[in-house]
Amino acid sequence: MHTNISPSIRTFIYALILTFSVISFTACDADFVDKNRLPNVYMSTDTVYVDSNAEMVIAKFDLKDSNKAWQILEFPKFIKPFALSGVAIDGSTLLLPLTIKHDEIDLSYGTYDFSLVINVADVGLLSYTIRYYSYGSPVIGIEPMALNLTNNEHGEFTLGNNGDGILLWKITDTPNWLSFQNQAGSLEPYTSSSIPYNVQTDGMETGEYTSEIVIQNNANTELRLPVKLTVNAFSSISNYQKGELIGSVYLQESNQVIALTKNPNRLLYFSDGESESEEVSLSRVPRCIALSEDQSTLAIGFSNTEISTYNAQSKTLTSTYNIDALPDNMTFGSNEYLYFLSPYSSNESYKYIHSLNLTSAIEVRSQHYEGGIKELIKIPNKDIIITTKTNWSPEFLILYYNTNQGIVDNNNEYRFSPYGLWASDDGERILTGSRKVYNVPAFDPNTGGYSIDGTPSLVGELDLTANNQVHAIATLNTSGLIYVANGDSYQSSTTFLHTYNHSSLAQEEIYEFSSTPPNGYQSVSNWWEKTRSLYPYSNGSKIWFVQEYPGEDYNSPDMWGVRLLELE
Amino acid sequence: MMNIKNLITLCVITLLTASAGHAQDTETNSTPISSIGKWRINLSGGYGYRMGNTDDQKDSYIDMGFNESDVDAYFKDIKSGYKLAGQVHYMFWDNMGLGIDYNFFHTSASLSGYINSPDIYEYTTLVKIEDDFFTNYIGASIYTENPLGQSQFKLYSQLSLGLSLYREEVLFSYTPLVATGNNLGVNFELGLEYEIAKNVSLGLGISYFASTISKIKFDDGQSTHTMELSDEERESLSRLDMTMGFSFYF
Repeated sequence: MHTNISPSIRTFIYALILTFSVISFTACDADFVDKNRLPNVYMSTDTVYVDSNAEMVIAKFDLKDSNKAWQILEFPKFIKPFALSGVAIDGSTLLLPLTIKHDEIDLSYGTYDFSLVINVADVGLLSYTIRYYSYGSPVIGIEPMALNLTNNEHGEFTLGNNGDGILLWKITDTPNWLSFQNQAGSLEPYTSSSIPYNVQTDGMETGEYTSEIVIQNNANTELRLPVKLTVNAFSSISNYQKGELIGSVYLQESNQVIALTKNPNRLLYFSDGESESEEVSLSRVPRCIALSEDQSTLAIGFSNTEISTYNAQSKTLTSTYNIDALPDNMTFGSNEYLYFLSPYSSNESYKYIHSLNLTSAIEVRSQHYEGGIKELIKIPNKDIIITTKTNWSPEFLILYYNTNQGIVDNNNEYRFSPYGLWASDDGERILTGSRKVYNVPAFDPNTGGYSIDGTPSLVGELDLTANNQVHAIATLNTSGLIYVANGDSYQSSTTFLHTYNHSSLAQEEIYEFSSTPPNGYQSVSNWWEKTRSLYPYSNGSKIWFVQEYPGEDYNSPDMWGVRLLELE
Repeated sequence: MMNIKNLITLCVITLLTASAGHAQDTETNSTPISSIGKWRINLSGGYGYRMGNTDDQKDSYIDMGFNESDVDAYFKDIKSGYKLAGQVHYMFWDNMGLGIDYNFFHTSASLSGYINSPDIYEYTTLVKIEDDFFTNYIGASIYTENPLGQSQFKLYSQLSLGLSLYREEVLFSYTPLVATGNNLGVNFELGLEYEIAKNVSLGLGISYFASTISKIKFDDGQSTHTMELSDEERESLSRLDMTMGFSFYF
């Protein structure tokens, strides 16, 4: 049985069926997989660099299109982007701060690549490389744990990395009198490096200064190295003069050091309080220099077999003598006699000794030559010249007497090795590099010469440890002191000055100082200094040092300089 | 959860009870509403709530690193959706008919969050899950009704057994995946109708749909594969629905 249904209800039924169908069919999307394919992926060649010291980096991303929404899809856990999504409004470049969360990453040292993926609407996925430099776990070490420094010293301390990582270090604070060639650097695991330093005390008051060197590093927050500086009354009058030092003499009355150099050929007068030396150019190549005992006459031997004399004060040339030899070393004798050495023609290590009468210009040469002698030393107030055969065994002490007569063949030889000779200013003693002090042998009227009986009579021995190598000795009768400049074989870049009582030979003071290599000097670790001559003031208040330093290279002559130390 | 066998037993008992009640009523009521026409078409829609247990899945999402409240919201959304249904019955008897029962259910949810991947270098990754869940069901149905005295109300019940079709479209961080499956399903509905016109009744019903998917086919656009699910992994399609609709008699 069928029942008719009204048209309105029928329409309503149809509408419901249609709605039902539409909803049912559209709910299931047959193309779901195809419509949701992975969007285009662009691998950017740009890289964001992060290291394990960085707290934050500003990353720059090219979004390829502006006014597009972007969202970061993936990033390393140790990074915290400032924002995770946004819209690039002005331009397509996104500058995004990235905070580095170091507690989220623990990697041994090395380089690691991560990716950061950004989804840009209508563009696709942009993949950027995050390159992470891990410095690992360095452990910083330093040796020594504190520095004790003196005037113009140079030296080095050692930084070490005792950990499994790259150590980055940087000197961030240091006293202004301390400088470093390298302010920062890095160290591979389990390596160390020497850090040279220079102390510059010019213009500083004497006394003690304490400070510290602050070294920031990535092993801990910072390392503090205590530094103590003791400034002695020492002033550097003139460092690192040009030319090769030939020799020096001292004008006691005017407290001037006169240095003779070649290349350039000149005389340099150094005075206390003068920053620049007074220069006298020489037209010939000098080979040796001597100052008369009364300090009025300066004699210079030249390579053209001439010896010239000058007024030491006025620096004027007084005479020139033609000699038939190359003067090697010379000293004034007594009574206008000048003594000098000249090489034996076939063997430079053998020398003749000559005398030259500066009044008559008569020159006398010894009949025999001696091997090894290099330096003639006049005993003040006595007609004696001494020398030694350097580096011979034994070296001998050779004593020439009657030097007031121009005699060159009268000599006595004492069989021992003094390792350097110096005469006291009163002419009574001979001081040696072996630290022993002898009396000048007495004149024997019976023989007309000087007594010889083994060795000269011993006065005593200076108290100096075996490590100390005597470089120069000076005496000052007025102050009653003996001055010994020496170096330590373990600290070749440091000079020590010991003072001793002239009578008791008891040590009185020790001064210690170091020089600073000139700026740009290449081989700081090989730096050394050696005192060639010592000249105390007549009142004992100051003392001059003429020092030598290594040349820039093996082909360069040693550098040299003049310094003045104020004594306590 | 009630299994399908128990559900069918309960439904049959209910149908027989309703039918018996109607037999008694026919002795006193000679003009049932369905006597207007032998065909009954019902169109309805409503709200469905999925009954499957999602606790384990929820925990796994939280373990992945999703925010717990986001996960709760996601599962709240994915468990409920809208339902559309249609039935056509022919009343072979005064109070009982046979026909076809169809229903469609859809729900969707999305979840997103930056989670830390368990990779060795540990990335933070934006994971987006967009999930669309569909169920289609069509089955052979038996329908009974029972007028309530001389009023325009009647009770009805319907039981069907048929094929349930499952489809789930998941977009997992730019990776699309379609899961499909099918199995037997049972739908049982109880309701009350009110005759608003000579041929039209407005009905309100509650139904329980039971089905479980034990074999799923996956398609990611590159390849497809079918997977048998263990008892613990089976996808429950079962749900409790509330619907409202119109029935047409002619």
